[in-house]
Amino acid sequence: MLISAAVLIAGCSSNMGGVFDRPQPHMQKVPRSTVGAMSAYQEAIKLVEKLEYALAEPKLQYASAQFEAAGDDEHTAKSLFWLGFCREKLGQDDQARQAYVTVIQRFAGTKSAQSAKERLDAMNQP
Amino acid sequence: MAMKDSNDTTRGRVDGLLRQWGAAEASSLAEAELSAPQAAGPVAAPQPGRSRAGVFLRWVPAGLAASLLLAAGVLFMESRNADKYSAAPVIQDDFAPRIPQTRPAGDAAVKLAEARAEIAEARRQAAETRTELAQLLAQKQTDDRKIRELVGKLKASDDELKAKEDKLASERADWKVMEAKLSSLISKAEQSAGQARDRLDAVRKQLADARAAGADRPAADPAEVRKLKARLAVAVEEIKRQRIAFDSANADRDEAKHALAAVKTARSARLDQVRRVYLAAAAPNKTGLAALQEAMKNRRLLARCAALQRKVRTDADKKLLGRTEVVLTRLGLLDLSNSSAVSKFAVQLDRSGLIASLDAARGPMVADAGAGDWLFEAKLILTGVQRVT
Repeated sequence: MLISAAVLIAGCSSNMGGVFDRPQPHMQKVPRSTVGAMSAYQEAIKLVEKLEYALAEPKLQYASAQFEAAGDDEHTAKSLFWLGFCREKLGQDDQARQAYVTVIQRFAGTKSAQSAKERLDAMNQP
Repeated sequence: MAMKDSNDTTRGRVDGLLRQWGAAEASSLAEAELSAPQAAGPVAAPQPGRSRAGVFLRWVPAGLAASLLLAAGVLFMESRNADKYSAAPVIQDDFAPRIPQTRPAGDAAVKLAEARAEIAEARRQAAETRTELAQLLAQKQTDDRKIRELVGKLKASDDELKAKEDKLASERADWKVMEAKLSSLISKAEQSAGQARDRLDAVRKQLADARAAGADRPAADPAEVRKLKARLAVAVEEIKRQRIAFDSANADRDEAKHALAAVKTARSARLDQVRRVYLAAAAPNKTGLAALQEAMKNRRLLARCAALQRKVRTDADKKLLGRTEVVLTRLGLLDLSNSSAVSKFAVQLDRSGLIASLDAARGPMVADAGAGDWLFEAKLILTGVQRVT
């Protein structure tokens, strides 16, 4: 009986891919190069300074995703903040708010979160 | 079942009678008792209150009723207390007394008194907080007004120096034009003199050749030689005159250049003083770039920029405000512990030419008091970045 139960449990556990196939903690943060992301981010900031928000937006989207995958919180927060900034300037208020709220919630205590809160407050003023 | 209970009771009573009156008497009485009908009177019918079931049926409902009454009383007292707590609108959640869900009714008065005391204390604290807030708000408004006045005075002082600088720059531009004209004249005179000199040289060579060849060949016309010499003398004179004028213009230009440099230095020094006064008011207890970030935040430069952007009409003004807003936002995000990022930002700011654009801003936007003050404050902060780094 005990052997049967053990075999049964083993059979069940082999089917529980969601649990056992999950990456182990030491494998979750794979170090990835952020050279491409940094380049895209810097280009985007230059475009923002030239008030070319529509051109900067996709670069910031790419950069934020890459920084996030690499675990670079500081630049993820900054990219997301500038993404919100571009969307605000492009008149996409809901998406801008969404980006600012993400920065405030996920990166609380950073300068990006502080700036995002200031911009969000200004947007909410009549 | 009831019948059986009734028979058992009767038999019990018979045994008692047997012991009392003796067997014979008891036997006759028992016969009479047993032969009598059940509903013949109070003796035949058993007393309901004396049975166990009777006792149970009598006291349990009474007990239940008493419990219900007590529970209703407790609930009533609770509801009255709850009404009283909810009727205190100024009490915040943090100050709300903790009322247990159930408690004995006897504690209600004590708890109520405690809760009232807590409410009174919370009201007193709320009043104190309101007073403090009002004082802080008044203080902030006073500070804002003072800073506004200060900015106005500082701006007026800077405008005065700027006007002087503009005048000198304009004169310098005039001198540059004059210098170009003189330079052109000298060039023409030199060209003319050169031509005369070349022609004279050619004639002289002709004369020399004639002398070398003897008297066979005709000599050059002395009248032509004289004429050429006269032309050369005029050209040389013209060159001298133009040279003097050119040197004079150069001297004037150098003087203007030095005067302009002196005014620029004075204005820069004045701007530093102005910035120190401004930062002392807008960002006390901070120094360096941190003071600039703090002043920007305290003076709500970005929020005011958004309001200005809604007001301006021309594309040039919108562009200037937009560029300034981006740079100020970058300054706000700057991590001051990262010296490399700070240097990079300062270099980019310098190359952008934004400060010069702010300084050169003209038109109706600058004439507007709010916009003029904003531009001046932005200039103070951004020139501060250059100064600090």
